[in-house]
Amino acid sequence: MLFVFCLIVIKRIRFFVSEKKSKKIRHDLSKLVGDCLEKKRTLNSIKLVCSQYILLEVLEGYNLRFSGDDWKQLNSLLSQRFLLPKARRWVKSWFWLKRNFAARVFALAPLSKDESHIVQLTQDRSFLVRSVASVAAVKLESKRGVLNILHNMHQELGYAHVYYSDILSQGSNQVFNWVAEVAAEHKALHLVCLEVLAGKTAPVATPFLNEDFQAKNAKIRQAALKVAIRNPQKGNEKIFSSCLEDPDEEIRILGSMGLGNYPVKEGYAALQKGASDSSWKVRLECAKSLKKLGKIHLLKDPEMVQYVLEFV
Amino acid sequence: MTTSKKNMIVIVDDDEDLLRLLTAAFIAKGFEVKTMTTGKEGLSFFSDEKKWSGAALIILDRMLPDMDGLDILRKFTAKFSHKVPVLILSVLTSEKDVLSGLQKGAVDYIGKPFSLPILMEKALALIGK
Amino acid sequence: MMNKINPASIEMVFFWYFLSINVVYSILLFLGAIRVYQRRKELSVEDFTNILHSNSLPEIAFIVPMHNEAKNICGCIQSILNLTYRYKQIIAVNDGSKDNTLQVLKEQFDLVPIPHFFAETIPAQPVRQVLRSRTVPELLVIDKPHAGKYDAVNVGVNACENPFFIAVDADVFIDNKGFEALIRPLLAYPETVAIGGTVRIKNGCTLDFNRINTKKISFHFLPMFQGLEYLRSFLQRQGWDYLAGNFVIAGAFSIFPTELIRKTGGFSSCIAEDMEIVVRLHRVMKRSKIPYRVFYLPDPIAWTEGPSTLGALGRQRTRWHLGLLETLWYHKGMCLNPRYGFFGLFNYPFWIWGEAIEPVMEALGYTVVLIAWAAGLMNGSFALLLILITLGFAFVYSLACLLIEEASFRKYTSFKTIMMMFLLSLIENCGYRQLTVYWRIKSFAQFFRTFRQTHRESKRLQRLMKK
Repeated sequence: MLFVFCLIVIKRIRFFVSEKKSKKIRHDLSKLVGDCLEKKRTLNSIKLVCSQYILLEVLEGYNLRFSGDDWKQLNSLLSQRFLLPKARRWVKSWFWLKRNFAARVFALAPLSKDESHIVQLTQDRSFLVRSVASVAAVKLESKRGVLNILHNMHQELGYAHVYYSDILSQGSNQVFNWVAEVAAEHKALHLVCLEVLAGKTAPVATPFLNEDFQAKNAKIRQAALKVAIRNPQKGNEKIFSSCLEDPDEEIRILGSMGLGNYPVKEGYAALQKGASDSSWKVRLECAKSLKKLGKIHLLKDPEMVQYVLEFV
Repeated sequence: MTTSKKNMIVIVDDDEDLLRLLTAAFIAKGFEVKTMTTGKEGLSFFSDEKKWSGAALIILDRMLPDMDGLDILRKFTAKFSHKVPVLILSVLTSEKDVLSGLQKGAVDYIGKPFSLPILMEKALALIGK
Repeated sequence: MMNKINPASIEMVFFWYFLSINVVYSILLFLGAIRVYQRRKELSVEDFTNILHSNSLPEIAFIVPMHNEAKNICGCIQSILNLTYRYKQIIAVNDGSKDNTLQVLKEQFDLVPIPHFFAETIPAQPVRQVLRSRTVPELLVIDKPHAGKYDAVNVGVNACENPFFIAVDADVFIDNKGFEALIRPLLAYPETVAIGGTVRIKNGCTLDFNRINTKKISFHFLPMFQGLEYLRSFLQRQGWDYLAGNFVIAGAFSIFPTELIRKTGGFSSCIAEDMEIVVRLHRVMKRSKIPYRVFYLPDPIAWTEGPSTLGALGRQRTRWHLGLLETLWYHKGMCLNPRYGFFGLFNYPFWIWGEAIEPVMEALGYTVVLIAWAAGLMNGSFALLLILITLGFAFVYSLACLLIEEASFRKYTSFKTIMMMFLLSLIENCGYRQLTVYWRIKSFAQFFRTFRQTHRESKRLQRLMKK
């Protein structure tokens, strides 16, 4: 019992001392980086006297705050000088924590000459390494990396799937063009590509959508409709109108949502009809779309009108 | 009696490193800067109109340690509007969040990470109006 | 008669009984410690900012059943709203409160009636009114007649349009840090059927916007004893995750996939409806031969108010043990049944052996020791061994749990708090433990008294599962 008591006391003291020290180091390092950003100090005057993990955390913190050219340049120089050499050595480490460190450094400052390392890490066995490496691959606009991410997205469900989708959605138009290319060329990855393309509005050619709207697979049809909702094209209003006749509730919901982008007579008529659908969700989406188009007066249900005016 | 020129920037953000850099940037442009790190301090400051009557711009963070910055905006939006522009600066950048901030009365919503020179230009443009 | 019954053999029965369950608890502690260690490593590098930027994460519903919760409900709802996870809906179900719970909510959140939009997929009491908040559109309030927590949660499940729901008690604070850490494990495995979050005692603690502050934790001995118990049991549950899954998930904070709960018929009227649904899920999934997971997160997420009087605590413990007995009866077909794999062959029998009958064995043990001492038949060294193996083990176990807490989450930042818990682990076994034994034994009387009702409910659940 005395042993445990002493252990707790020693642990507490050690924790207190190390926390205080670590806080001071972080504060000083943070001030140093800030001074470099304000150009009060030069890079050459910096000597690293703390663990690279702390430097990485400080730089990641700054990266969450700033994105301008000044910061990108400083970040790149600091990373290349103090972090990248170790990161390159740790790519093949047996310990996942070290590989995670490497992936984080590459995500912070991705360089073309590290593309092969980044691509390798996107296929790592640990999700906490693959996920971070995916950020690096998208930032670097690595085609091989993007393809690996799409493969991962296809194989991994749940959180990983959502994570990769978000990462790719934050990518540049070039990344989106590649995703559209992969959608056209790889049948197995077609569905995940559609999910990514539905993530944001982007000027990307998607000629395969016309076929997808008629697909037998309900998931592909739904994903294609979501892409079309995000990127309204002339002529798609007929497709959305026809969706309101579909036996699948989800398709009808997407059809109602899609029509909200088309201020045309045929659209209003379809939405008015959809407002008496048997499903509450379909009726609600039709009402929302009518409100969006400024045609809420076409709704006959006063309860729904009040609900939509109040909460939408 | 002449009306004093609005020369104060009020920033509510719990990130002290960011506050330091923003303060230095605005002081370099000739502004006076008032900073707060908690929502409670912000609420107390804004409840006294005399204190912020000289404010040319208010910059609010969302993720404060004791409240959402939007709660401050919601409470004082009637007082702020037409008197002083409010700019939201936040790491919460999903579509829902941006819309929420703009609907509550913010003139602009800048996501973190942001470009400091661009933020300064936007701020000066808002103040100029 | 005493000469005919060999005292040594009676003593050996107790010795082997307590040794067997303590070996299992030791293994669970060891496995739990490994799990906590792995989790800490993951949390040290995980980046949660993507949760803030995401446009694709699913919406999670919080179902909060309320019965006479006028004092707590606004704080609970506010604590959920303050979580940084953006995609959430709150469904507060007013289960026929006799106080002004609904009125308080109407005033605080500006509720207006909306159409009753959901179908009664799970049979429940008819809904009186559905309201939504003008100021907080993600808050839905459903008013219904009183029928019990299980019925309120079922109504919430009927109204839920999200893939997951979290059943939360109205007196619970949710810690944002713990909740953020929950998102990835929650969504990581699509085959997950239930997730439990670690619950701690919050008596005296405050919620600083969305972070729990334990600096002013109550030093009253009752909440502190409960705090120790929660520390031990939630660490054990990590161990059970390695051994074919948990038997129970804390009803104060538990997560389920909505559609699956609808398909399995919702929560039952069992007193421990949270335990019963988890066992039923094990049973249904094993029968259907569908791969699934039930697991516990070691992160302290939810903080609940523990009873602060002996009477309230006693009633709670009797109720919990009664719930265990009912659940064991409902699903007795799983016991030692190879159809249910390791869960049926080990977990289930252990819950009978090591949990259900444990208070009876312990009470008998005390009785035998007293009688033997009175009759002058007591073997001194053996009695000492028995004390070591029961009370001594419990003390060492508590210390180990405190050490693991110190090395991992360190939610009790005040040195005074940890020292108090350390001292209380010494005296816990001198009175408090014996009280819990008495409360749990009381539940047997109630179980036999309400046996007919229990048996009827058991038949109903069998029919439901056949569907």
